[in-house]
Amino acid sequence: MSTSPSPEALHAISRANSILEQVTKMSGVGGWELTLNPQKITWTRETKRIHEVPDNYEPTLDAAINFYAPAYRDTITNAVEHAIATGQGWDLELQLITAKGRTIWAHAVGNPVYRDGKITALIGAFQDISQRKATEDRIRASEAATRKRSDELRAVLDNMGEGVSVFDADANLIIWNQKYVDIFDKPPGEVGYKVPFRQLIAHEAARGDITIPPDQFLDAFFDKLKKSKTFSNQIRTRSGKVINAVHSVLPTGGWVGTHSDLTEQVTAAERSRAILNSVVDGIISIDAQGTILEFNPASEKMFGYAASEVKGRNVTMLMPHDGEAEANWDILGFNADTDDQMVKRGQDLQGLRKDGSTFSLEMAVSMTSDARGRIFTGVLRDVTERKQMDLMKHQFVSNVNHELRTPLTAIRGSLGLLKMMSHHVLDDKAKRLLDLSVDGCSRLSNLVNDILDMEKIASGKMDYFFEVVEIGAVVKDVVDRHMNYAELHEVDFQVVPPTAPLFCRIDKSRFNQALVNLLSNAAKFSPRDGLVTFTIVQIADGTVRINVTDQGTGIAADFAPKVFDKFSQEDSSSTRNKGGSGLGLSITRDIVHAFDGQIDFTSQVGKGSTFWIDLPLVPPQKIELDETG
Amino acid sequence: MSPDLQRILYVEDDDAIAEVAMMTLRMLGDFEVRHCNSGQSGLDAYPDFAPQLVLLDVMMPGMDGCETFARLKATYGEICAPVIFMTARAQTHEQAAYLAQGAAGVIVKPFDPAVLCTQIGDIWTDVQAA
Repeated sequence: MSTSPSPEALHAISRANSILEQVTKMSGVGGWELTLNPQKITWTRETKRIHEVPDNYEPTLDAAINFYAPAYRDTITNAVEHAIATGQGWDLELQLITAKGRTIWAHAVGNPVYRDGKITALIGAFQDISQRKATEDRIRASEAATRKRSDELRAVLDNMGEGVSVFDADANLIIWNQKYVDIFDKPPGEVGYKVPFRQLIAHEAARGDITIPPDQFLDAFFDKLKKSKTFSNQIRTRSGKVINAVHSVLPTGGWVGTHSDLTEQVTAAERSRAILNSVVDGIISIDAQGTILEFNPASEKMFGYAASEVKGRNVTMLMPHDGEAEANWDILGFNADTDDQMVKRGQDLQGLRKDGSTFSLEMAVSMTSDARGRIFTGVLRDVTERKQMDLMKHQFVSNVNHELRTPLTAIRGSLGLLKMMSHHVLDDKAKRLLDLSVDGCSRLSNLVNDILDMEKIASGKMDYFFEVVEIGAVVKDVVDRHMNYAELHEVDFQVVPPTAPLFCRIDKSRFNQALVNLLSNAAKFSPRDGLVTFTIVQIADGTVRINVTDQGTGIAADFAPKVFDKFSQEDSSSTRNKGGSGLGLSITRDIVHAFDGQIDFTSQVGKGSTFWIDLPLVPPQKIELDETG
Repeated sequence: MSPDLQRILYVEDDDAIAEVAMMTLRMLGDFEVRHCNSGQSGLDAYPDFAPQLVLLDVMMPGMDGCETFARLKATYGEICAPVIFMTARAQTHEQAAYLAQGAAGVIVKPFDPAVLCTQIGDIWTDVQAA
């Protein structure tokens, strides 16, 4: 007997179906059922809506599977077959293509329905999760972008030359780079996320990198952090490292610290400072306005001022206020465009001490440019004592010269007189002895002259009285006046004048001295009846050469480089016998150099030598100017 | 030798040099020579001896040759006898300074007795010509 549901029951079922439909619509979840025998698939209205098919659409299993995107059709087919075979349901997220061609994401769940122990149907739910998937994609993209940005920041941090640490508002470390760990030589494990700043400082104090008690350090640190948005401090670690830290308060609370290793710069600066403080020379730096920037202890001693008294004041306070002395300090007048790094020297400067006294000084000034503009650094030396010594030496040499000449005058005079008076009474041997004595006196006298000249050249006191002369005429005059050398050594002198008058600017007296040195050497070393030739010839535009050529013994190659050295004489008995101080050619060279000229020689042993002097010519237009004043 | 030159006042503090020089001047030049061994004694002897030429050493203790010459010029002015400095201090600038002071000439020590009188005679001739 069959029983039909009561109208109340049917009403209740209909009511429940309606509620279920409302709920599934509100939740976006559709349902479906697949009966296996006969095979029939049923979609709820919401499922049809998701597939964008009309309400009267009647799906088949194949049609239902074909709604899935091709890539997922095997997946769902396998899931269905697997559920039928094993009773295991599925829960998949798959893409499908709606009837209107839209690709959407669906959450598909399916489970078997059993009747009498057998699977008779599959039932499941179906939900459009496209929105959620899109949101997930956005989140994933955003996370990837964030990760990328984070990786970039990390790379920047790790490649920075400075250590970086970031602390949160609770003073816990939240970001740092490897340089931060390295710069403080922090052992492994000490640095980590959320490690308190207080703890890090305690470790540094324990290692001796911070010398004051940690609490005191922290109080001062936080006090500064509170007072200023940015501040810096310097730490010298136990190992001698100098670390400069700049701390900046973050708007979110906390702070960021950047840490630089200044050890090299600081030690270089300290070395420079130590040098500045220990050198015996005064070192003063000024800017382009003359404001004193540096004044080392040697300068303090030299000028009698403490550095604090002069720094920031003008350098003119160190110069005597007399026109000439002050003008000499013009060596500070560098040209900014061309003189960078150049060194200028001032020799005859006067310094003004605090007590008003003056002193002689020498100074070398170099210019550098930096952010402050042009900086002049002068190295100063008090040369008062040296100048006194030079003067004393000069006076001593001068006095010795006089004292040597006095007895020499008496000896030379006596011998000369004796020679004349006893000419007829002395035998040849006695006459020879007298000649040797007179000759010895002459050599001694010349030596005294040469020593005095050398001393004057060395001390820069050799006086020169320059005038423009016709050089051919001067050479001829010198040779004519020293014909006695030719007679003495039994040689001939010959002057070959230039083809046209040539003019030089020289000191005639000193030129005479130089040429006589060459002339007497040529005569001395020439064989009897030899010829000494003086040739004056223009060798290039602006240069005249005076050749002194002899037919003498020549100069050995190994002695050639020493010819112009002081006290140099070729070490052979024949040379020694010719006498001379060994200073003549050295003096001659110095004189020629004073005329802006050059001297040199060529020689062949056994054939003779040519010594030549090159002098700059004075152009004719310059001579007129000279004459008209 | 100029026949006009006879009386020479010779001021030299070194006795040995003075002796050689006087011997030379008297024997070879036939001059009448009065020797004084200091600048002051030279100044003292000058009016009485009335020299035609003064031969003056430069480096002397007390009053040196330059000062002696300055005093002679200050005392006798235009009529002061010509002065020749005979000195070892005869660097170029020193000789120039003597001439600038008004010296008639400079003879460098050590002198050669053979030419001393000739040197003096040449200077004397130049002075007379001027």
